[in-house]
Amino acid sequence: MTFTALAFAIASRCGLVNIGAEGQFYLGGIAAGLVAIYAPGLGIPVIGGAVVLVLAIIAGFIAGGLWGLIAGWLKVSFGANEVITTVMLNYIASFLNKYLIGYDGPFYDGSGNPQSEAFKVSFERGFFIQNSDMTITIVLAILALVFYFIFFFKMKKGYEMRVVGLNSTAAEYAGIKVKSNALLAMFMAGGFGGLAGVSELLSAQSRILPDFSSGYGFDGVAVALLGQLHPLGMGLSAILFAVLKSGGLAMGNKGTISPYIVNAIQAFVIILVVASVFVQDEYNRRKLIRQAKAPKEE
Amino acid sequence: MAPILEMKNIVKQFPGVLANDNVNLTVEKGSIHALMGENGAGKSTLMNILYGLYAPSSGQILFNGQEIQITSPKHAIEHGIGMVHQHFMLIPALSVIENVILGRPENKKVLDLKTDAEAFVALGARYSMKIDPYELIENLTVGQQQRVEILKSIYRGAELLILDEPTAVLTPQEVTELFKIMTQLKEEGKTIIFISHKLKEVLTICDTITVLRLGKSQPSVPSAGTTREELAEMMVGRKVFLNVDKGPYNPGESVLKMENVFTKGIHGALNDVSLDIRKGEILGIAGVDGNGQDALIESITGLDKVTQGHIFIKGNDMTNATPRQVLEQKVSHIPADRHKRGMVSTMSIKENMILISYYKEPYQKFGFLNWKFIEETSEEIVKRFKVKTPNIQELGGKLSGGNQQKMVLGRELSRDPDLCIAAHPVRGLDIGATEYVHECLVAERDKGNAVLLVSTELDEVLTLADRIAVMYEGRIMGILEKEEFDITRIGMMMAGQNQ
Amino acid sequence: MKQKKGLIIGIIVLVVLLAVGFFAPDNIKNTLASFIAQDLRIALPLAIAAAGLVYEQRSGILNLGAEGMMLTGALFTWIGTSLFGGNPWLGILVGMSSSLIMALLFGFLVITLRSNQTVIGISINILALGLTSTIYRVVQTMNITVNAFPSISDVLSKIPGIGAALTNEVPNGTELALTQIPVIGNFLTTIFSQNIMMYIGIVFIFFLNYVLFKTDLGLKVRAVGEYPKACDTTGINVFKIRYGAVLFSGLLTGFAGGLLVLDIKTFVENVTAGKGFIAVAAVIFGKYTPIGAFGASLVFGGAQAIQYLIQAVGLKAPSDLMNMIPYVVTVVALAGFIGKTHVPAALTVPYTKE
Repeated sequence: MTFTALAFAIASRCGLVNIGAEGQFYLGGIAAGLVAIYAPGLGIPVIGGAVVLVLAIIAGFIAGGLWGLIAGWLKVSFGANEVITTVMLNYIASFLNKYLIGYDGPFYDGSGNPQSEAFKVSFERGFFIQNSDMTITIVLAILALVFYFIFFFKMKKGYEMRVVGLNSTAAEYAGIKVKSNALLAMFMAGGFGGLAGVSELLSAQSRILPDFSSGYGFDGVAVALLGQLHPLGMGLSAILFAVLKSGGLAMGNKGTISPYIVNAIQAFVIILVVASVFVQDEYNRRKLIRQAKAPKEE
Repeated sequence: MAPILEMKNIVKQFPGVLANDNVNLTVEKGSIHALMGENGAGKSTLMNILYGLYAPSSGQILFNGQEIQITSPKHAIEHGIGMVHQHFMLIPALSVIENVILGRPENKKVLDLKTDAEAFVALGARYSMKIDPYELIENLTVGQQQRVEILKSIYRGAELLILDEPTAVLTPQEVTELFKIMTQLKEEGKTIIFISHKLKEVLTICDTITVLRLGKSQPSVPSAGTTREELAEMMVGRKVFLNVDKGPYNPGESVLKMENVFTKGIHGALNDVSLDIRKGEILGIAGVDGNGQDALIESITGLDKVTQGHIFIKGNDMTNATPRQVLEQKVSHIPADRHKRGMVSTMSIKENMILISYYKEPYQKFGFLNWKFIEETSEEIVKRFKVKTPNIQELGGKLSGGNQQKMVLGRELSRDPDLCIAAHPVRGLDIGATEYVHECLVAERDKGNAVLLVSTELDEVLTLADRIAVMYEGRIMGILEKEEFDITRIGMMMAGQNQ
Repeated sequence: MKQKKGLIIGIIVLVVLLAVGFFAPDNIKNTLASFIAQDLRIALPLAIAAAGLVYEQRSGILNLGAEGMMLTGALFTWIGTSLFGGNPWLGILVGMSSSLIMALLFGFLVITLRSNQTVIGISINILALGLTSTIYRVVQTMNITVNAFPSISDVLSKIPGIGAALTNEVPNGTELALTQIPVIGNFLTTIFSQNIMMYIGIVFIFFLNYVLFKTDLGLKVRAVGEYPKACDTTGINVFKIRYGAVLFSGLLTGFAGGLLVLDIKTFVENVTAGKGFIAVAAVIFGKYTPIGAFGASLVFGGAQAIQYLIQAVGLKAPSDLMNMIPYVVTVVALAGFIGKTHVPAALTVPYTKE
């Protein structure tokens, strides 16, 4: 969730609304999954388990990034609304995944169910806390947040991207290339969306299945918005929503309550957060008026 | 004659600003009444209250002797008050007649455009105006749009017409046309409130003058027998020196040279533009807004593509260079629209200060920004250019207009430019800030740097420039030397005539 | 001029269709006819939602929550229909009321509170997905019957006097008398045998187009989306117009969601599957006019119906890849046609008076 939140947040910092984390999640997951299935069998001796995992991560990042880049390219070249294109790309990615591992697809395992072969390597569970489901991806997530902070607030490229996001005409005036920054932002955003897919698939699942994302893309949007695009805020809200979601999934397994109730809660939270901005503005405005009036009445 | 309008003790409080402080205004029926004052003196606020756009914090409005409450423009229109805003309230994507009848309560559910169009054309003919009622507004010139606005108000039954800075967008010749229409309206018994800060115009056309200063109204005076100097003093509250001290004029070698430049232009096209600016001079670009000034600046700064011709900066061919390449030639640019181009209002002052130079050492090293150095330089610029702010962490957008402009000016001039391009540098600033900006530009010139000054305020260009180029429809109509400065001639050139 | 171009394309398409109807061999004729009928059925909900969204966008509000409103409308139409013993008319009213509530929430947030339209739109989608799926799990055990709208031939046959002349009695109901026309009779019958809502819907879309461009109200809506301040100065209540457009569009998106459910006669989680977003794309592709959006919906509907066509012709293609086509076409249409049309100048810009 941290990763999909970053997918949304990075694009947002550059003034783009990336709702495509879901699709980027699929692409990243597929790429990493394929590496985890087929790379160990290539017979190249240097490819050990850890190396395969690193390759899987890189492949996932690049695949998700390229998927994000499609929407970025459509935006900068044709001005196509990235919200709609990323949503469409989510559906396309989901069907692409179904096709690839479906009965007619190239990665079907022949078992009678639409699925790929099992991964030969995956992240080891019980990381840090024994017998838990936690894997090393938690470290990756924290590193990603740290990277996000340093990139946008300490580095010149991040500064450049923020200028583009906040005022693209000023960026143009200052000689900053708006289009290439938007493309890079969408690639990075997509890459993190892809990493989300990598970490889910190689931590919690054993093979590529249809619909292997249970709405992580939208969760990311909620996390990023609740965290107000701030790295620490996003980290905390990711934990909050993760707890909610696993609770929701557990409820969904036991009774008639849908795990989707979590979505409804998320939406309410975002709406409250967004609305509170208005309330705060209004409060400040009234305070200013009162202050201005006060000396006159004395 | 009886007053048509009396506004008594009007107070309007905005967050942090007292825009109108016990303002009184009495307007006689059938007169042209001037409302004067500096930017920010409260003229527009007062008129927006009269037109129902703002609710006054307190005060009383009497119209034709009756006290009325105007809570929306709808009320104002019903009472016969019409307003032509400085920024026209016309919708570019709709036709003339659609704009004219928009929002009229007497419209039928299914529109009958034809009847209204015929009546409107007939009305136009009365004031010798030819109008195509089905033309889209965006295809009209600024002057035509203004006439549509005036006629629209009359068509909808205005008895009292508010004209907010109507001459700001017109050529001197168009101003004469406007004055003819105003006189005819007055003869027909209509009343006009004319908002302006141009002393000469006010004295020419108006009967009575009310001056606002810092939100307070001064007693009204008749225009007959009042001099420009007296008016100026009333506006500013002290003696104004309309001249700027400049060093002697010693132009050096050429800094910017444009040779037969053509552009297609997002904001209008350039058509065969040639000019050159030398060290130690201010070249003023005069012209009515929208005659290619933006295109000129965009072609020089690399924001727009040159389709033909050449641009040289200090002898280097910079035709179609990128904005960054141009900026690196020690060119600084104070853009016309500082909110849109010159600054990022949701970023802090220090972040705004590095907008142009962030990628250079020592602002950054190995891709990381050097915040310590950035903060030190920002503090220094803020101090040197007298930007009033609690600290440099403050958001740029929180500063007042004058301080925002000082921030942009400080950033641009502290880069030690050889060429400074300043577009409408004092637009929206009060007199104090205006004087300061002018001083800074003249100081650049006296240091031996070149300044390109674009302004639609003819007075500003006349006072500051050493030479003046007049633009009309993307062309340079001519470049005048100091001794050729002549307002009539420049006016003709601004309207596209050159004898 | 632009509108005329659309008209010309429309006429050419009709002429080609008639030519096929007259001269093509029977198997091609039948395949084409069922493709068109299918296309119309898929396009109608899109077009209805898009027509509402045209009004909304013309008034300056980009509603990316259309997907969620459609989904809400779909679920509650489904529930409502079964509450009223399968009656689709009352059911769809229930659906429309539910999406109206969503629209009210959306309108309050973006108009009164001036929140970011994109963010709120997305939140509405997440909210709707969560709520509908949760409620669905609760009510899915209910005994649900959904009846479709009556077919056009059933309705016509009941008109006294001319009913008998327009329709024929057939063993399990009625059919249009069009079958009696030589050569193209069956071809036309397949296309025109739709339920009554198809006819009402299409007439309604043309009516909306007329209102938008020929009436005082339409002028106000168009003006508010271009330059709200100017509208305010001529005495138009910007907030009222915008609220009106948002609520009206909410009703229509809910209606569209209801049509989806009544067409497939059941509800499944996320039944809209991006159709709300495709409707937004249809608005842009259709140059912000109701009729244009209808044309765009036919294109997108065709992209979905094409899989039936391909199956009918006997080509084999993986269904997952076929399912992608409408989404791919939407993306391509968005990329190819944006920038060539005038976008309302104040779209997504909140209005504040002072």
